Amino acid sequence: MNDARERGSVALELVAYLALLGLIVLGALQAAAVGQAAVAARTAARAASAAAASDLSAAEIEAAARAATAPSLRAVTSVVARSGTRVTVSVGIPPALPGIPADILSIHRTAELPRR
Amino acid sequence: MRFVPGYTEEEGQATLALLFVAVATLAVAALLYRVAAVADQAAGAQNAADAAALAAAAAAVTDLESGFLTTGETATGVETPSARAAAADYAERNGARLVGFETSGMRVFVTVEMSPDGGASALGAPLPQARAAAEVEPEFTAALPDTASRSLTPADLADLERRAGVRVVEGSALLTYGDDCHTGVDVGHLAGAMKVAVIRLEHALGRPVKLTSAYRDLSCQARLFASVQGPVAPPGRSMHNYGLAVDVAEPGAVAAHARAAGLCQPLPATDAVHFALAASRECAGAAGTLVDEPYGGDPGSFVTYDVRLVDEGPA
Repeated sequence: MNDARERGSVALELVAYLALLGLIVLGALQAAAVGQAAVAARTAARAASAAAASDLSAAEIEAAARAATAPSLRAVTSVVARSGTRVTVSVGIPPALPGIPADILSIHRTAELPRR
Repeated sequence: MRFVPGYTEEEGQATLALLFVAVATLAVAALLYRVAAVADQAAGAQNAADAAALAAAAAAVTDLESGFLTTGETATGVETPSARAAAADYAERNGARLVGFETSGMRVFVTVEMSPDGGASALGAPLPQARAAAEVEPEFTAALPDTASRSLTPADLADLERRAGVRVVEGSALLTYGDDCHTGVDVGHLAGAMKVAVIRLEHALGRPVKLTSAYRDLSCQARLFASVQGPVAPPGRSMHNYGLAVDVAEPGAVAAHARAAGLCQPLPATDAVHFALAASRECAGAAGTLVDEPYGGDPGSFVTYDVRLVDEGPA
């Protein structure tokens, strides 16, 4: 009986470690996704601010922000605030786990370029 | 652990290896987080640097347009009073601070550093720096004097004498100097009203006037602007570029008759040799609108400045 219980303990440990490993991998993937979203938000905010500095319409500013992001992020990119040429853009963070909507968590970045 | 038939001592090594893999993966995760933070802040710093450089160049344009032309103050490129302030302002608006500002001719170079309150410290990354350069380039929206030969014909002289109301003196500057600023003094491309003023000036002096410069095309102006330490306007911003100014060898003698001839001396303290048409904007006159020449109007209506980011060259 004792032998059988020890062998089972080892299996449980392995399962726990595998679960931990899976979580860490997911965390790493999520960290990369956050970084991708943050840089995309910076780029989008800059493009949107440049559009605002050129006196384009709100729709054109939104389009400029989306066009500046990767195709996979365009659907979760939007302008959330604008004052003059100061534009704040939100980009949804792609989840590491499949099946979770990308717009649950988002990252915001702001840029302000001068008018020319 | 008790010995169990069929099992060996190697079986625990799988757990150990898994632990190592877990630690290594954790390290990779931390590294990815760090890389993400640095990439984010680097992108933010570059945005701030670009905004600061563009703002400085745009502010310089405003100074060039409003300050130089209306007050006659000397412009020496984009190093203007408000350019640096604008760069600092826009760096701050983008979560950074200005740590470097240089100019070279019509280019401005800025260096910014992300501010701790701009998110850098929160992400655990060092404060990144970024550089950017912007350039102010004049774009001419109206024709400058064409550079075809402008030697005076007898008919031209007769017309100018009629407009001046006096005769051209013997050996007049208009007859002795040429029409190429690259090889000498170009009087051929002076605006007609300026030629009339020269004729009147020489009549008042009773002799020809000695000129050191008259009309300058843009390349002549650019060469002077880059090489001369002193009161030289950027290309497109000098009355010389529109044939509306001359530089003389004897400013004292000319100054005594300038008003009667229709000229003014806009910068007696810093550029005494420079005389512009009294009707020109530089002389705080009627903004040059009295000049009935196709290129003799308000220079401000001729030039727009394009402000753009450029690759960083040597400052």
